[in-house]
Amino acid sequence: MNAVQPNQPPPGTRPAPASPNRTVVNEPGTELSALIDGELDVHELDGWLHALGQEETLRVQCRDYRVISDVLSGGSPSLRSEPPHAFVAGVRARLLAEPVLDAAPTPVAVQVPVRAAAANDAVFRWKMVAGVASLAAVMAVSWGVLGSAPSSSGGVQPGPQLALMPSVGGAPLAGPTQPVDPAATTVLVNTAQGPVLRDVRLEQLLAEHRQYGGMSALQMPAGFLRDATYPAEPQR
Amino acid sequence: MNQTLTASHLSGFAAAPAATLLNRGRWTAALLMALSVWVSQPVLAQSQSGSARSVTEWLTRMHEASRQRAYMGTLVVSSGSAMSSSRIWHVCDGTQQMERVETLTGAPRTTVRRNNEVITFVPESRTALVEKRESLGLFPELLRTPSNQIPEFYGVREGGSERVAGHLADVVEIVPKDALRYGYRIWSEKKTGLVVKMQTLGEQGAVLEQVAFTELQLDAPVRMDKLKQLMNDTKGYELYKPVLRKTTPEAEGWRLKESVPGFLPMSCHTREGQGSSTGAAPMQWVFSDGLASVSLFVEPYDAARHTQEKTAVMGATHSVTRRLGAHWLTAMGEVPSGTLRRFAQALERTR
Repeated sequence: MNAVQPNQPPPGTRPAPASPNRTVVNEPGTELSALIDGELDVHELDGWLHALGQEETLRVQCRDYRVISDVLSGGSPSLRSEPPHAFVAGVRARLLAEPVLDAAPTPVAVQVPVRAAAANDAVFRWKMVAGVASLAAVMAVSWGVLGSAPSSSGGVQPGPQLALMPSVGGAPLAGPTQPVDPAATTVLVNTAQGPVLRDVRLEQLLAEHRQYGGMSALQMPAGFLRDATYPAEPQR
Repeated sequence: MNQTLTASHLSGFAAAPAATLLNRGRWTAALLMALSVWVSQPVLAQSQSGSARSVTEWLTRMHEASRQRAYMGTLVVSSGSAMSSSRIWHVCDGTQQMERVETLTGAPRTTVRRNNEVITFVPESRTALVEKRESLGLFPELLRTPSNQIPEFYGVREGGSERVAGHLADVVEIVPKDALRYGYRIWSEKKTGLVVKMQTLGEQGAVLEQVAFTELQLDAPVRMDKLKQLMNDTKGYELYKPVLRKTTPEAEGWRLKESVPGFLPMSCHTREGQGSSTGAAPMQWVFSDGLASVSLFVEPYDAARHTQEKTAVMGATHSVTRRLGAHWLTAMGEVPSGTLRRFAQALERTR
């Protein structure tokens, strides 16, 4: 093994301390790795120690290797790691040094709701339970909607809506042979209170009932004012 | 009030027999007293004999107030889950009364009324609807005629005084005598009789709908000439005048095989021009028991539109739909759905 030349600093900025046993003596990483692993002899070590005393970059590199070695061996680093601000500054410096990969225009900011994965996300049986619950909810909603709204389309009229429910007295008349109405008067409207079924035709008749059906002794003192206050527009 | 009525009843009917029975034994008298109280309560609820005014007198007083007083205020209407409000101006000169209602909820709309003439301005669409509403001129004349059958189906119960919109008001409860109609609780301003609040009551007194002034200025300086000016100023508005064609159920081929107690036929008409997009215009046959009204809308059955018989409700207004052969009936009114089903079962084709 060749003697280490103490005056010759290790690799990086100066020629690396030579070792005949090593095929890649010029690689500073290899020499440093050997140093950390305690594979250098006394002379080589002296040379490195001298170099470390003079080269800041070499010290930093050496510390990094030591931390890596400690982490790989499964223990906690015996050396104190870099202070956070130094680490962040380093990351920033490296980011600035990164080449710009794409010269495309600035991407449009899109707000995507981000949510952390649930704690039981990885548990398959919970996914099964969630799936069954979703299916049950969809069936429940569909049952209600199909029960009272065979089809939907048409415009939406402003004003109060009528809550629909199946007839108590009679069975539904609509059979499977009857055509599905493309111009039905029932519409599903989203309101602040949730989705509500509205029958536009029924609301027209309600307005007509209020206009011409208010045959009441209470009409003059209160009924007319009440009807005129409703947000629904009277029928033309 | 109930307690007072019960005491007066006892003094008139139960107290005297109880006194004669005292010699026979205190327990017998006490038993009779308790029995008479128990019996008297439902009887009194029916007769309402202890009320200072009859139901007709109360209704007439409320009418007169709106015919003789000027006022302005803010009115709130609550029906089901919906709530809306409006600004009201009211003025009268003994022979005619005028009213202006400006909605504060939803699309802006102004309604101006002169007796039974009504014009509704919709500024957003620059349209105005001009109508004549017979129902507004019908009462209170009807209250004075023998055909007024309100006392037969409604009782009255006075419930003390409460303050509404800054005014002291008498609380009057109009109690139905059967399950075919709803009750009403009315707050009538103490001095004038003006209705300042009204609730429609369902079973067990549940409030189905209510209308109330939140702020009211009586004898306000409302000028009739200004309201007239507003009513006539239709410049820039497209006017619509719905044409009602008066008819009779007989002429249209309909009759009720059995009448619904208390409800008398009031009018029957069809609306011209309405049927262009929805088939023939429906016939509207209106019934009233004096306080509640029911409209029967009959139109040709359309399999595409009339897919399902159903009932609907909004506040105190119910509706029931039913297929009657080649026709489709929609019964609607401020009555329980059971009443509407009675109408639906009674309506039949005569040809």
